[in-house]
This record gives sequence, structure tokens and C-alpha cells, in this order.
Amino acid sequence: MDTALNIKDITKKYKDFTLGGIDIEIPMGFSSALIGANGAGKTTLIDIICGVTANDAGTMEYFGKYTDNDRSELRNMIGYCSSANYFPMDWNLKKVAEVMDVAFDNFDRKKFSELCDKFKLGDPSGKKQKKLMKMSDGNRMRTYLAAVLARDTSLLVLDEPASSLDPLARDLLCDMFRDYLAEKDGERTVIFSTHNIADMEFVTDHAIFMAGGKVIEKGFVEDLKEKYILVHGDASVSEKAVPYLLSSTSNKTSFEGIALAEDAEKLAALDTAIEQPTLQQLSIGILRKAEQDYEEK
Amino acid sequence: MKKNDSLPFWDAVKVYYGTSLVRIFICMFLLPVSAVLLFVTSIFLMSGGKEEALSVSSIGVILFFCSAYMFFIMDVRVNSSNLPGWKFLKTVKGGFDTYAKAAVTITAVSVLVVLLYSLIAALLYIADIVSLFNTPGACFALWISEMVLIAVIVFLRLIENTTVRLLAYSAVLFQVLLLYLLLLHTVKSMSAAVWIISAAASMLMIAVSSKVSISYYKKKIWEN
Repeated sequence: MDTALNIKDITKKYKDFTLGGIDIEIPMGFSSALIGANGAGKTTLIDIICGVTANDAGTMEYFGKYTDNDRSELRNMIGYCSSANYFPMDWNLKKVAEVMDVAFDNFDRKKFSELCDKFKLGDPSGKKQKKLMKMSDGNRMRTYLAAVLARDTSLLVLDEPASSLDPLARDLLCDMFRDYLAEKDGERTVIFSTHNIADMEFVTDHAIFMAGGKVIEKGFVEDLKEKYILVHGDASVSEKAVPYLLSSTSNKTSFEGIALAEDAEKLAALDTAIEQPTLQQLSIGILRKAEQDYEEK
Repeated sequence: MKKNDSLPFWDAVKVYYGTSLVRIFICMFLLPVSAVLLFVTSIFLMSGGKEEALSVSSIGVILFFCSAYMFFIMDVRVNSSNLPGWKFLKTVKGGFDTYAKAAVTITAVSVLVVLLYSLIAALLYIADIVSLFNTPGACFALWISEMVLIAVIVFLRLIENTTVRLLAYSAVLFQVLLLYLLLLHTVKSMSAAVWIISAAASMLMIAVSSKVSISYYKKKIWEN
């Protein structure tokens, strides 16, 4: 399988945080989600990938031939959008269109107008224009997304694109991701970070879980769903089940947790119910385990 | 073959300011001028039409202050990594080259605006229409002090925190204002040679501070 991005041992040190030793391969032609709690290092990693922040060590290879030194080529190939304040706040749709047209070779004004219409933002060439500072958070994000999706790029990197969107707009965003990937089947890739895992599950092919500046799990969602199982049962059997569980929660009557699929038979013998986890359940389980490991340290 | 990843300076300005270079120039020129006109009209009306009520130094001070803050605000927009839009600007065509062009252009526009003030004042003086600056020397005092101020604005880019930069700038601004007033009263006794050397030195100051601040920005902010 071709890789869109091959990240090797990327490190970035801040005073109070270190993104350390990141090794990941992002498959080409798929949508990859970066999942992690706040402060896990998702934004730092995205900024490094897009050249917004410089890494202290490590290498990156894009599309099998470009490196971090080929920024001039990569600038046109990567469509990047930050989670907030992507454009100056005194800009409006018209100004966004004018500047994007100058700032990138592959910006399509007609497509931008169509996307603005889809996102119900209004006409970018209209006379009455609202400045970004007067828009709601959701409409601001829609503007950023319309601008970045109106470019003909090979890699889309979005930081928390769904966080300020309403459920309908999230659904529309998922469709847009699918359309973006389908337009040039196998040649385009999407990377996005999210906390809204349930809403974005439909569009997530590949997932990377991060905690404390490190990658703690990664893989295709379908593979991960086969690797892990969701276990739940009565509180009376929880003590016996705990040694097999990677992480769990319990109350007076029941417990729930995730475990490795290889322990399914042993857990089934304890009279527990076993299911295939959703990405949301998998994420909670994996991130909770990371949190428990951190607390134990 | 590599694609041309460079933007011309007028497009670099458009990307950083969201508006055209011509509009920026007009705004930077007209806003301080309109403040001076408002001041002159108010004083003129309040004094019952007495021309003597308008002193050279007060007109100069108004022009100096308004343009000083205008230059600073325009400079901050291109030279602040903590303002909205910074992440977008880091990813645009040309990258650092686009930043450097926008930064140098806005400094050049500030210099041109002062040059235009000076030329208009000189023309008004020569044509004997309105003696806004009484003597060419007074006009020259404004030119020198504004050039020093632009060099200071450029040099203060080394302070990353915008609030601290504004405070530092405000403090320096008053020192440069004193320089302007001092020059205004001593300029008559200076020879033309001193004027020319001072003008050249002030321009050199801008060039040096621009070079220092851009290389600092690249190393400490852009590539960090």
C-alpha cells in the first residue's frame, strides 16, 4: 500500500510538553483520524506535518518522494486548516476568496462559491458581507473549510474540523471528505483530528491514538475492531474479568471495558457479554488505558 | 521542474493585509492628513479665523503622532505571530519569502508616505499657499524624526509580545517626539550638508534594522 506520509521519530520539545518519537505511516487514499485527549499533541503533530511548526528531530516523507525541504511543492499539495483563527478576523468571504486566489495556485473561486452555498454561508461576491469576527464559531469553521476544500490538493490536513459544527454540518463534512477522496480515487488523503469520534466514525478509515505526546495505538479501524473486544457484565464477575481488561469502568451493578480479542474465550467463560466495539468505545478504552498507565507512573 | 513559488511584492502585501497596496498607501497617507485637517479647522474656527493660532510645532506633532501609530499598527499586522491568521500565512505560496516581501514593502510604504508629506509641505511652502511648516528646515525635522521612528518600529519587531511591543514603542515615541521638537528649534542653524548626512543616516538606520529584524524573525519565529 502506498503511503501519503511517512513520519519517522519526529520530536518537538516545549517548556512543558514534548511530542516524542512519533513514528507513523499514513496510508494514501484514506481518511486518517488523530484521536486523543486535550494536550495529547495532535495539533503540534498537524502543525509539524503542514510546516507551521518546525520539528526538533526526525524526518517526514510525503507521497514517497518529497521531504520537509520541498516546502514550495508541498505548500500547493497540502490543504491545511487550523481549528481556530485560521484567517484574520476582519476578513469576509469576499476577502477570503481574493486572498486565497493570490496565495495558492490551485484555488478554484467557482468551487468556493459552491461550497459557501452548500455550507449556507452566502454569496462570496455579494455586496453585504459579514466579517469573520461577527460570525458564529460554526460559520467561521465552515468558511475555513470552504476555503481549503476549494483547492485542488493531494493531502487535506484539518485540525478539529468538526468541533464547532452542528450535527447536520458534521454530516455534510463527512460527505465532503468522501467526495474529496472519491474525486481522485487512491490519490488523495485526509488527516484530521477530532473529539467527535461518534459523528466522524463513518468517515474514519484509519486511526491514530495519541496520549502525552506519543502515539499509543494506530491502524485501520476495521483491524482495530478485530484486535479489541468490548466486554460488559455483572459487577459480580468484574473482579475475575479485570486481569484481562485493558481498561474498564464499573458501578454497583455492572462493568464495561475493552480487552484484546485473543482473550475473548476466557472472558466469555466468565459469563460476560462480548461485542465488537465502535470506534467511540474503542477510543474511550484505549485513551483510558493510557490515562491509567500515566497515573501509575 | 520546480513551480515558481514566489509572489510579487504587491501580492505579498495583498496576502498579509487582505487589501491592495494602493489602498494601503492611500489609507496610510490620508488618515494622518485628515487628522491634521480636522485639527487645523478646529483651531482656526475656535480662534475666530486667526492664522497665528496655528503653530508649526502643533501641526507637526499631530501629523507625527497620527502617522506614528498608523505605521506601528500596519507593521504589527505583518509582524505578529500571535494574531489570528498567522498559521494560514505560514502556509501560503512563497512562505518566508512572502513574509519578507510584505514586511519590507510596508516599511517602504511608510517611508514613501513621509516623503509625500514632506513634498506636499514643501510645495505648499514654495507656492506660498499655506506655510504649514514655515521653513524647509522644519519640514526636514519631521522627515528625520519620522525616519528614526520607522527604524524603531522595525527594530521593535524583535519583541514578540505585541502588548509589550506597543508599550515599548509608546515609550520610545515620546523620545523621538522630543528629538523632533529639538530639531525643529535647531534646524535653522544647521547647514544643508548636515541635513543631507542626517537624512542618509536615518535611511541607513531603517535598512539595518530591517535586515536585523527579518533575519531574527526567520530564525527565532518562522523556523521555530
